[in-house]
This record gives sequence, structure tokens and C-alpha cells, in this order.
Amino acid sequence: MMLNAAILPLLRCPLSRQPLTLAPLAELKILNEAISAGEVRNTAGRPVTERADELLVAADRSRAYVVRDGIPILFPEEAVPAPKV
Amino acid sequence: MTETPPSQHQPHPPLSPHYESLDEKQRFLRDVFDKSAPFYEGIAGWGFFGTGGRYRRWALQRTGLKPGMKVLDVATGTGPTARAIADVTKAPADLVCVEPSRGMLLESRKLLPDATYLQAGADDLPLADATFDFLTMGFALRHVNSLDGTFREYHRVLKPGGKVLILDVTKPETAFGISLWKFYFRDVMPKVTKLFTRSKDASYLMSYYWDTMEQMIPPAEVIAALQGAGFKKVTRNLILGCFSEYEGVKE
Repeated sequence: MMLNAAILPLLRCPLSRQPLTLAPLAELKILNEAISAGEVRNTAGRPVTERADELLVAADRSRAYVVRDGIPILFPEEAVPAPKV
Repeated sequence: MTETPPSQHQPHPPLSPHYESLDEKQRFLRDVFDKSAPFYEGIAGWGFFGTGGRYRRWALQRTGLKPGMKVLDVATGTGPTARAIADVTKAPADLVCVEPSRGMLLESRKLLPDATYLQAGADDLPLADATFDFLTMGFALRHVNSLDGTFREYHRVLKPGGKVLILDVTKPETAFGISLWKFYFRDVMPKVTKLFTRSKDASYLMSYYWDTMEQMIPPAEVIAALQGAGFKKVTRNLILGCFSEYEGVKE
């Protein structure tokens, strides 16, 4: 299941209140490769081990939030770095 | 962002032995709700003798929920309040449900697939300002870290004229009422939950519920926190001596 696109204009980063946009597939691929390599930690410093189905990136690219099975995970402590493109 | 004022109202103090500090509370709750999620609809059904849906619809309609309203249901759990909202508004696609426990969200989505689900906490809503006409929270006030921070977020995401409705179980005011309340929530619920579900996790959750109910801050402090967050026309309507309905308006 994918994220309901109608919610996108309402979503905000819970830390900065920046708007969130859906990352292109190329960025999702970069993140998932980094997760597979054990290189991704969330804001709380915990390793991220589960791949993302989709990715929401803050407008200032300071943080990103993973989406799994159509449900975005939007806790401040579970933000991940936005992929560098 | 502006600097956040300090929190004055916690729903209850940290509850040892469940968790020792506020820092551990949300992780503890997500774990216990994830484990109990498959059993929760059954417990909520028999626990209130099948009246929960009718009661919620009645409360929502009395408070002014109408078709066409955009609604946020916070701490949606397995979705009993969300389903009552959809029954009234007839538009589940205009309903956004926020819940920290992934297990609970997945159970809710099975029963109300057309709503939108976000895994998030009440203290940091990941939503734009002035978005919703109506905001609800059903029987979950005790699970937030700070009433002040949570209510400021509720005020922020409501449109001017928007309403908040918080349903909660509160300690009765008479000795007879307190005796009945203790007997049911402390003695009956955990044991019957264990008998029906055969789940230690679900029974444990009911025991934890009792501890939170006994330690919950008085209704006057909930009202003060709503007013402190900017809500006007704040009222508490008491049903059957122990069901509190807190309402407020963003002007």
C-alpha cells in the first residue's frame, strides 16, 4: 500500500514544521542502500535496519521520514538524514 | 519556531514499575499497545457492553460534529472514535488518524480503510496550522507526556472556530461511585481480559490502565490546561459519574 497523496499538502516535519514532499525514487534508493549497508541512524542515534517503501523529505532537506506500508512514521526521534543527491 | 513554554500539567507521575521516567513512557506505551493490538477491539467491545460506538456518536453529535467537517482523531488506537466520526460525517476520506502504536494503526485500517493514518505522537503533531474543523481524542489523555504541549498542538492545527472534544474516564465523586469504579476497572477488567484473550500482554495493559486512572490528575487541571493552551468556552460534561467530555473552541 502507498501513501495517500491527498495528505501531502497537510504534512509537516514535527521538529521544524517545514513542509514535507515525497522524495523521488532515486533518493529512496540511496537511503535504502545506506540502510542495507548499516550506515543510517535516526535522530535518537539508533540504527535504522528496516527499508523504507517511500520517503518524505523536509523542504530545507534537514531531515527525512520513512513511510512503510503507506503509513508515514513521523516521530522527531525517528527522523533520518535526507539522502545527499 | 517559537520557544515552547514549560509544561505544568502531566496526566500522572511516572508509574513504577511500568516505567521509571517520562523519557521511557512513550517507548513503553508503543510496546505494550503493539503487543495488545490484536485483542484490543474485543476488550473494548465487551468492556463497555457493546455501547462504545453508540456513546461516541452521541457525544460527537451533541458537540457539533457534522457532515463536511475535516476531522483529526488523535490517539486513534484501533479506531472506535474514528469509526464513530465516519458514521456522522459520512466522509472517512476527510478523516486523519494519528496514533503512536503501529500495531493499533494497522488494526484500525482494517476496519476503516479510507481514512488517512499517520504514526506520530500527540505532543508533536506532524500537521499544518489551522487545518481541521474538529479534533477528537477518545480515552487516551493519560498517555501523553504533557497536557500543555498536547493542547497547544491541538489549538495550532484547528481552524478558527474549530472544536476539540476529549473523552476520558475520570474518578467518580461519591464513595459509592468510587467503590464501583474500583471494582470494575481494577478487579474485573484485567481478570476477564485474561480469561477471554489468554494474553498476558492484554491483561497487563488493563492493569496498567487502572494505575493510570487512579493517578490521573483532577478534571479541574485538565480544564486549566485547555484554557492555558488558548481554548475558549471550555466545559466538562459528566456522564454516569465517570465519563468526562471536555470541550473547547479555538476562537
